[in-house]
Amino acid sequence: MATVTAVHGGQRIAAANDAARSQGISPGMALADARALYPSLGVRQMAPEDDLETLKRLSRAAMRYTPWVSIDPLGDKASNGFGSLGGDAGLWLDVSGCAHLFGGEAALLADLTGRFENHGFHARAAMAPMPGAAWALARFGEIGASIVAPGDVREALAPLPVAALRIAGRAAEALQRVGLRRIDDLLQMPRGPLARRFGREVLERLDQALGKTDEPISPRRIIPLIHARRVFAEPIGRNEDIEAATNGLLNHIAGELETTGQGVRRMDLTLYRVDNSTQQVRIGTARPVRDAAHIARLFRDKMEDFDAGFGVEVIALAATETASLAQHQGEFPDNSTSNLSFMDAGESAARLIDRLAGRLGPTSVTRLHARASHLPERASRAIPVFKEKDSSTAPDALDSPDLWRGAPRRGPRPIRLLAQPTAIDVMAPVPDGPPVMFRWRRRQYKVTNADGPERIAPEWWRRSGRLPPGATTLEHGTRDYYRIEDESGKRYWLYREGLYRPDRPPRWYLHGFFA
Amino acid sequence: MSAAVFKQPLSPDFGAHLGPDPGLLAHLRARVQTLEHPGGRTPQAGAQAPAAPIKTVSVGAASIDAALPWNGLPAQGLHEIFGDAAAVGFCASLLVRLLAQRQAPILWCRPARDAYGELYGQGLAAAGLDPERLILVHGRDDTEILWAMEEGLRSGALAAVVGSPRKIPPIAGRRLQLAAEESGTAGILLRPEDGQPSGRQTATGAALSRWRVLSAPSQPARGNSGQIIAMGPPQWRLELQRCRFAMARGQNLKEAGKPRAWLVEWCNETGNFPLVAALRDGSAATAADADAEPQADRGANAA
Repeated sequence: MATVTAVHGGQRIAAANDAARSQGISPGMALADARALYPSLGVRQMAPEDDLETLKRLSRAAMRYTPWVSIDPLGDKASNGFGSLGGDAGLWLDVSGCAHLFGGEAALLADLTGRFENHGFHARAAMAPMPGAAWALARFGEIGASIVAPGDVREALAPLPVAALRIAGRAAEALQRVGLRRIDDLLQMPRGPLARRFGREVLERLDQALGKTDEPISPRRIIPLIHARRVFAEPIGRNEDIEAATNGLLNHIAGELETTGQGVRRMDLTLYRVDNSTQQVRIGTARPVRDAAHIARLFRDKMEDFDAGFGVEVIALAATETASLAQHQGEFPDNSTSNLSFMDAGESAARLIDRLAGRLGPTSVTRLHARASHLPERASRAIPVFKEKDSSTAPDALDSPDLWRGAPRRGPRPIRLLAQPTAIDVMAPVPDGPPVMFRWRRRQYKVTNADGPERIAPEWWRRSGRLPPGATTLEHGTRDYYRIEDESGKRYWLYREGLYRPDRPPRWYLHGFFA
Repeated sequence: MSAAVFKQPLSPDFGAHLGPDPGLLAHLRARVQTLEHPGGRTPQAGAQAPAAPIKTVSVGAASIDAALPWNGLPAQGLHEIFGDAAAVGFCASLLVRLLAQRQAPILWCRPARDAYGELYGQGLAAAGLDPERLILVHGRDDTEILWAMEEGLRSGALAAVVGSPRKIPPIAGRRLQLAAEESGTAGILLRPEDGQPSGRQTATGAALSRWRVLSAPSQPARGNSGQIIAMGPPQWRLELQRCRFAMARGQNLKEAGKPRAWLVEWCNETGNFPLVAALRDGSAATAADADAEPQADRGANAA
């Protein structure tokens, strides 16, 4: 079987499996040629996105060995020039200091390849002191899994083909033409002419493979500041056991936080199941917390319906966002201030917010935020409770009770406001006067009392972008608000949009409800 | 081996024990009350002098407070408010006074979608309620709203908890009332009925008081020669439909258990009701279903 992709107007093989390769089909070959070699070749279209998704899944699974995992950015670009991630794609694992946890380097490698094999991936792995050498040995080495000690890199690389150096395109062709086929051949050559003739890339790759220059690998995930993990000898399946193990890790992390004077704002719990799937549980807190019992409770709320499947092998806990805790302890709420908000309302309120947000979702717990705007719907906004009043809202930073109260001569404001004003049918005797009757939701309301209008002009400095061409904001966005009372005494906030024009009937909207 | 032998002949009035014995019933009632309220805050004790004074919040007018057995509404307990948009205003005015007593946040749990819009900060501020104090929670269903309310009431960190579930299972209502009582937090079940065509939702029997607040036509402000110059302040019709410990005052039992209604004018600035007119009989409909209520209450309390 092979996957194909369109290159320069023709279908070419992007990747081929072992069976196809044994028939002489190799990546880069035209599909017609491949069919000639093996007529019943199964062909699928290349799907790079799916490949990447699978690689991401595998990389998450590989994080059981080390937190430092990255997807090989080159993929098999070097081998077929398409830059696809299929077929020969790879993962980098920086296992410095991790091997002893798995019983040595050889055991780690065997466990790794065995695990991939079990899930239907044919994996080759190599361990070397530098990424370049590991890459070369994993793809071109003699055996599936090999470990090279720092002193033996040169010897191990020497018999490998030049392609093992991740050299592609013109340089690879040029090397091929002059008969430099093996790394050994390159090592014999003087460096100066080599660079002049084949470009700097060749030397660079050679140095990277031999460890003469560093090659940084960026991990897929930012390494958390503080983290703890636990590997179980036997997979555990009961939620109580998982909880107990989590609490153990939490206590450990709480200790570390205490020594650094930090509190946790966000925390990730990652559970690695036996079947290589992972589940991540994330909690957030309104203010930095160090209390293990409180965090454990937040996790418990989220883990209620967790399914361990065939069992959990490894759990890892990471404090992905922390903040200094000392700075929050110094603040005592001042009872004399009137604008004391709940953010300073004490520890138990903050904990309540954490629990609510943990169960209902962080966007479901909000608070009202005042903005300096004339438009009623812009003036008050519900924002997630965890969101700090950051600098991005700088023009509105003048947070003061005045923003809620508004200008002294402002008209009345309703207690409930519709997010979207709804269009209503209105009967108004005078075009620029209040209505005497309006219809909303198939019911008629007779107006007995009206107050207004209060004219609210659009904020011309904010472009709304919704205006029809040629219309001015003044003509279109201006609203005349009326406070209306119906027969039963209920009060509504209506407005007429736009300035009065004889050729166009005015449009009316319902926007809010008074108490 | 043992056997009980009646040597004494049956007394002629033996059968009378099978009938209700007023003394025994009173004793049992007292025992139930002490079991329900171990703290000694039994209604009987409240009749003379409350053992532990109950913290109350004013409804907004002295005459209405006086009509309640606690002389105001208990700040530790569950209250239920039905009604139209005016109910939201009445609730806000209660919150203003609760905030004045305790500097703490208010948890307000609402359904995720409400056809009548979101709470509007500027409008709340105009009613005297500081919007910065509010924590708004949106629940996807009644279960989430009730859960959030109970968590809030149990935390004891809040000045009040407001929630608008559509339905309240009897057990959930009881749990909320217990949580409110234990933590000393006021819980308000705000149940606007402006979306319901029938206008009546199922009430929970657990709340200490039940109110129905409806808008009433207001009196426009008039100039010297009687012409209308402005819209007058809003008027509400407050109706106390149920009051759980109405029996606290023996002499008021009949009177306090009966729904009472007032016509009030809401003053935005103070949150109080400067103008109050007691409606003696209320409308015929409310009087009718009110007659049925005290019966059920008495049964619930005795059981």
